[in-house]
Amino acid sequence: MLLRFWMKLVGADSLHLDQLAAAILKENRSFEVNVHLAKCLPLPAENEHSRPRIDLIVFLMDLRSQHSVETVKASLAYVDVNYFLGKVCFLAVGGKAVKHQTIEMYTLKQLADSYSSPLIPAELESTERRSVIAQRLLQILKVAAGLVPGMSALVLSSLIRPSFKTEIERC
Amino acid sequence: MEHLTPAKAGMARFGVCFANTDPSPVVLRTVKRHTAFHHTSAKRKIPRTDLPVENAEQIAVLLQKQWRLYHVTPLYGFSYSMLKKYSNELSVFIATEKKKGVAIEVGIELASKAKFSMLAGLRATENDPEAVFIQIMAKTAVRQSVDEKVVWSGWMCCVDGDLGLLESLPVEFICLPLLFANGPETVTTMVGEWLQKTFDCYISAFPIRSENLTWMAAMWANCFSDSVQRMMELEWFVPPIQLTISLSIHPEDAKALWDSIHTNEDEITIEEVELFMSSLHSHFYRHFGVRLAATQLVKVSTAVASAHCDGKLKLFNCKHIDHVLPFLTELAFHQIQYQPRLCSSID
Repeated sequence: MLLRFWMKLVGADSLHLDQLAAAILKENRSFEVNVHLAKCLPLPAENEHSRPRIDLIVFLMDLRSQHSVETVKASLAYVDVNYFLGKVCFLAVGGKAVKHQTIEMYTLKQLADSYSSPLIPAELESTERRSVIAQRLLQILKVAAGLVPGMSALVLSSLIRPSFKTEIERC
Repeated sequence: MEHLTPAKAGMARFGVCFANTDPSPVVLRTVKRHTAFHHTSAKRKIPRTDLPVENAEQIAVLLQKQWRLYHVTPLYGFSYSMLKKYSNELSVFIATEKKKGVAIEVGIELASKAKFSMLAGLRATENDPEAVFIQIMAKTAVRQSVDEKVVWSGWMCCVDGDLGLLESLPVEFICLPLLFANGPETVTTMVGEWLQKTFDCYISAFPIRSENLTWMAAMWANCFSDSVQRMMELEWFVPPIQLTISLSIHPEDAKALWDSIHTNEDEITIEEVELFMSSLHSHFYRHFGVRLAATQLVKVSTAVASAHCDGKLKLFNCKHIDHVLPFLTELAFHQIQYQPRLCSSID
């Protein structure tokens, strides 16, 4: 039986999405992965009935572009609340070039914390970096799809939540 | 790092509440210090400009010049009574550097002289140290006569500095975190080296982030110069295609937009600043189809001052100087406290 799992990448920058999707599909794995790309949510209503179940949603935000953060914020409203129990992940791109940043990492961390989901800082410039991130996302997908015995998406998300949280949650 | 425990007043400003049952406030402070995810304050006070400006003629020297901004860590052993001694030492230092063969500039052949002086009128509160003005003059031989002209000038100041940090410094230290320099780069490097050697400080470049430029645009939109009508100019840069987009706004329109957003008399909040910028973005998008939100703001220029993200500043107005300097001092203090290694050094 062929197992298929679906990962969805949402972000405003199509180049980053394509590169990351290619890196994910190149990785060696024991199960089939389909990667679906979208610029923003909600998805168009035409293919509603034929759309398969999505196992993991990854939101890509670029620290150099305010627009990408606003797109992601608008799309978050269309995600079913059950996904936030470990099936949503945020990716922050562009943290290396401090000179060109327009958003602070703190803002993105606050956003991720308010949705109880992990924020992964990533660099998508080189192939090695992309494959590292792809491996990490595939691992999260494995857990979210239920392939790892004894571990569920909710347990994983509570394990990797850091002990230091942003101020909204502290007082 | 010399100071490990900022005062409680400073910490309360960042929204952390210390309840009575809090077991170890020290641990919380150090955790906050070393995190990479630190953010600037969400509200800022508007300074009052109805106080008369003292020492207007000396401050007029600071206007209309393009200054490069640098960061300076607190100076050890700096004394205001030894300014003459410092002038002599710096002159000697420049002379020896020249002998070593360090090229300065064509035309400065004869001896150059440095002069340190106090610049009064730039402090906001009693706790701020007085500003210091440095000038390097060189004698150039022009047509048989020896002419003395100012080759390099710079000033250091601290305006309305963070009270917690100023009080936590040991007595021997004086904190003048901002250094403005105008003149050849090589002379700036020499002066920087001398300052670092003499006062055991560290001077680094001071790039201004885009969010802080948006704060400046919002803060200065309200200020009018009585004599000169100057357009508000904003410049955006798109790194991948090396494109610069500039927008000029009539000051009346900018003020009208800001007045419709801004409510509280004393404070500016970050939501007001973001709303101001997003209105400009959507206006631009509607007319030109370009999403400015995906680009990087690099330059803001109004009747008050003009600031560039590389750390260049130009002041135009004596009256509104206290709209600019306290904000820059606050940014400088942030840099000292939270990101000491993110900037490249001067040499």
